[in-house]
Amino acid sequence: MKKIVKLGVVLLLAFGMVACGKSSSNESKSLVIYQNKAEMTEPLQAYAKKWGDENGVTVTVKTCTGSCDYGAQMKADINAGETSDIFLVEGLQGYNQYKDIIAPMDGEAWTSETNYAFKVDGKTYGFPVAVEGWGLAYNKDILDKAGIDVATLNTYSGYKAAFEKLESMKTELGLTGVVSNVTASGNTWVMGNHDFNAYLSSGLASDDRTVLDATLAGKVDETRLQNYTKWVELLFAHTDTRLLTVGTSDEQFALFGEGKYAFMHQGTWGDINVKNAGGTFNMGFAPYGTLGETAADGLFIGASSFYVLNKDSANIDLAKKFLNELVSTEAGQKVVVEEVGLISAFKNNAYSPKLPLSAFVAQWVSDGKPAYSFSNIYSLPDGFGTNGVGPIFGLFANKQITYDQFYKQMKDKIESIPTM
Amino acid sequence: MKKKIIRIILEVLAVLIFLIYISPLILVVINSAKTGSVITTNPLSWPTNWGTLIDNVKAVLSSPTVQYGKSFLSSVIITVCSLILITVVSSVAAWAIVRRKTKGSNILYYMFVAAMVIPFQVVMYPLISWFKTITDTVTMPLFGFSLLRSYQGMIFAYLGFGISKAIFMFHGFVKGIPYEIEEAARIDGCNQFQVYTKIILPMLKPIIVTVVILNGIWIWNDFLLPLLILGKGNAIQTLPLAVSNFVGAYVKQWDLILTSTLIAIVPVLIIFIFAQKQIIRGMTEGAVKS
Amino acid sequence: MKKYLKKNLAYYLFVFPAVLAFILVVAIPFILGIIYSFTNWKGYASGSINFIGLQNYVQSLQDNKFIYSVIITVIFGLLNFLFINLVSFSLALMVSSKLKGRNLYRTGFFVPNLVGGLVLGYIWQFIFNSIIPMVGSNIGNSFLANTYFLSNSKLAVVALIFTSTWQYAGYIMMIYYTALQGVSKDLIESSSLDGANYLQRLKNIIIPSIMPAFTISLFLTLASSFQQYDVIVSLTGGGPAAIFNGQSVQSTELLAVNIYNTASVQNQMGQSQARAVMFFVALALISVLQTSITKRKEIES
Repeated sequence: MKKIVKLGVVLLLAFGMVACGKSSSNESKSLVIYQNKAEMTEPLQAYAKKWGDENGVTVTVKTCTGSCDYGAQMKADINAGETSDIFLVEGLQGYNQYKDIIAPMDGEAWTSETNYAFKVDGKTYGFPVAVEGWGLAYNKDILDKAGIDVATLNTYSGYKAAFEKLESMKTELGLTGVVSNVTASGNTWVMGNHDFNAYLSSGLASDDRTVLDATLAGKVDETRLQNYTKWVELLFAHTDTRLLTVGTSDEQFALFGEGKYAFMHQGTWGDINVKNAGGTFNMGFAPYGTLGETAADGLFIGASSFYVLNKDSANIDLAKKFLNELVSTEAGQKVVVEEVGLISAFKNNAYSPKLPLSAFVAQWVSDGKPAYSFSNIYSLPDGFGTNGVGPIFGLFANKQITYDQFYKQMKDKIESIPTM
Repeated sequence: MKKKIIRIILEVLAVLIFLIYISPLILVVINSAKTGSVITTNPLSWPTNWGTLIDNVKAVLSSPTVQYGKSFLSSVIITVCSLILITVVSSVAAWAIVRRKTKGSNILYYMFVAAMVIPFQVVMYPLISWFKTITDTVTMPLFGFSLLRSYQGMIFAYLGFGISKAIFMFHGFVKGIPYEIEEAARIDGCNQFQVYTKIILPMLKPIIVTVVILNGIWIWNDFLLPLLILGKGNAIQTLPLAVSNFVGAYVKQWDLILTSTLIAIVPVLIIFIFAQKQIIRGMTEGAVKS
Repeated sequence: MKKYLKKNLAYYLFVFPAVLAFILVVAIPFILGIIYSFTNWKGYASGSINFIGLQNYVQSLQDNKFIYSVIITVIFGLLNFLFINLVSFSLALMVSSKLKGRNLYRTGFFVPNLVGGLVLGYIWQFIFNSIIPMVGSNIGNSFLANTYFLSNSKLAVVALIFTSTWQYAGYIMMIYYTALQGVSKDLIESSSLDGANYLQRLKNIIIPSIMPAFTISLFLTLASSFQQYDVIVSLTGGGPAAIFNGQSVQSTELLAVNIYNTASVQNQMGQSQARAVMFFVALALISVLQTSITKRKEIES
């Protein structure tokens, strides 16, 4: 019997080998980096290629952006035993998901150059990709034409007046809508992560966890949520239905860049897309008006994306070297700031961002203006922003639920957190 | 006269129905020949400059995300190898099962048939972790290849998922071949292997065509299995994976997205034009028989 | 033993590759899949696997999204079946008539079936988001001009039915067409001599004689509707959101998508397996039903 089994195996494999044999072994050293930032892809690929040539390594930058589900792909890779050497996680949520396979990086040279490293229980795990920030991005040229003072944009009524004024001047300003915003599936992160973070963080010092801790315990701050709901209703009332309900984040950038919208509900990472769409006007960020008549005075600023090391990587030293040189060499420093246009998280990086949105936030930081927590949302259960509350924004945008229903849905979701 | 008018009305109606039915395909073609801004403002107009089509095709072909040439080749390798293996392995097995009339043989046959009911969703995740186990314990140490992220694994998976239906179809066909023909060949001194290659295989031709077409279309267009086994953005990509990756990266550029769908359809369409009759017959028969 | 083996060597040799591939690719993962559905399996990162009884099944049945998914899958399946069969039967009548372009029509209708589900979904996304509103405003229909099918939870299901009908109708049409070719010409002729009009002939002769084709189409369309995945992923991504039992759900998240998301997005591998096993049981029941109906029909005729 054994003989037959053997023969069969040989037969089967012979078929496989002869007809379709392809050797898949690669002997040279290789490094795989997996990340989900569209704007980083090309500059990072170019840098990695150069770095690889200099160090005799094949560096591959794998990217999963836009509608690609990064988390699902990560899991598939791990299942296949093909985890990348360096991959990207978003805040605590991302770390928790993969903590079994993440190696600490304490004592690496880059750690002494930043205040933004990702730490858990005093140990360093994450290399900050960049400092990012957001508020409601505005087209200064349009606001000037409409005679709107940016300083009024920090309360509900301030925004309401501005939005209504712009709405009435749409044709003369050549606008399609007032706020470029999206809620379609695959883009639920825009409202679910970034806007909802305002409920958790707005008006609070960046290390103030009161609302966050209450939320984690399933307790709702009713006034805060009422004010937040009013804000969302106001935002949705001033976006073109098509963009709001079936549009994508890329369209958001492009339409803002083309000057078809006065505001854009996005952050500093949109710089390149806005520029590519021809956006050369003056722009900046205003604080959200989620606190009702209490004025908010800060933007959401911080690092939320971190490169982490796969502890089982065969090339972990190479991976560390790659990250260190991203900080210590001039070519490395240039990638994030000069080429991608983001704000560096490292003190020794002398470059400053050229593109307007990042430049605005960099200036805001160096002026010492207030910053609210960027990452509170990532302390909620996995996928809470995108899959938990994200779809509720979609329902509200489609007018499938009323103001009251939206409020109740959000409340229910928050109250269900302890059971998640 | 009245009859003639009705007739003309019916003919016109038929042309209209036909045009509406295939209009999505026409829309893909005409919009692949426009720039992005023209598509947004007027997706219904006839393209003014067909040169744009060539520009768009060039842009897609040269895109590092889609790697059309490479992905196309991978799709061809996977489809062709899987088809060869499925055909050979299942025709041989079906023949052996039909000719050996024992209880065990019968059970074997019903096992293959029953497996056709299993939905892919039940096996997909266990398959991946199981393939990982085989890779770590057998194929990697002994043969130096992985079953995941590789041609071998992809093709082997298609073989496993394809044989049930193929055996079922071959089984029905072989039953109709008279045993006497084989006997005669054996008396003439053919061994089993020769009987298969010289007698059985040529007679199986029509059913082989059906099996190849049914499985070919499935494998060429399949998305979920390659997604799980090959993963997005890795070294080996099939065409559907590449297209989905491309769309993921260029969410707004409909000119390029439509062009990428167009060039994914064209190869199948070309084969269809040449083998229309066989394809239609093969697919219909395949359905009726199972 | 040796003699027995020698005599049967050829048989084993011929059957072996198929059996091996079948066991490694289908049988073992299938058994593992059923076992995992009773455990806290995580899919990766080794970890211990513990039996947790029926917990995965109970939790699935308590999950509002799963219940919605089951219901919408059944609704979609039935509507899809109705639409596809209506359209494909009409098309089959059309291409088996004496119309001038019938051969071209037949081929043309079949073509969408060759396009992969994923690619097809992207094409129709374009049609629903860009073409239909444009057509609506051109012909002055304000409903079409202002409706984004894929943004409304009910219309998105309609859009999905539309898309899958377009993909599948040409294929089912061929089955009806083949059956129609087999309808006795004499019978039709004699009945038209008897003065029966077209509708009467359709009802009394044509439809009864293609009943077997109808049964085949029934199960083909049902099975294919239940397994929809690729088209949904590219057309709607499962969205938009809808309210079901007071909670938000994904309106086009049919079972196959729900099973995938439960594992890949929510990381509940064990629960995903439990759902898949329930799905399998349902499909198996349908198949048994199909076989028994076909058998009974065979006995009757």
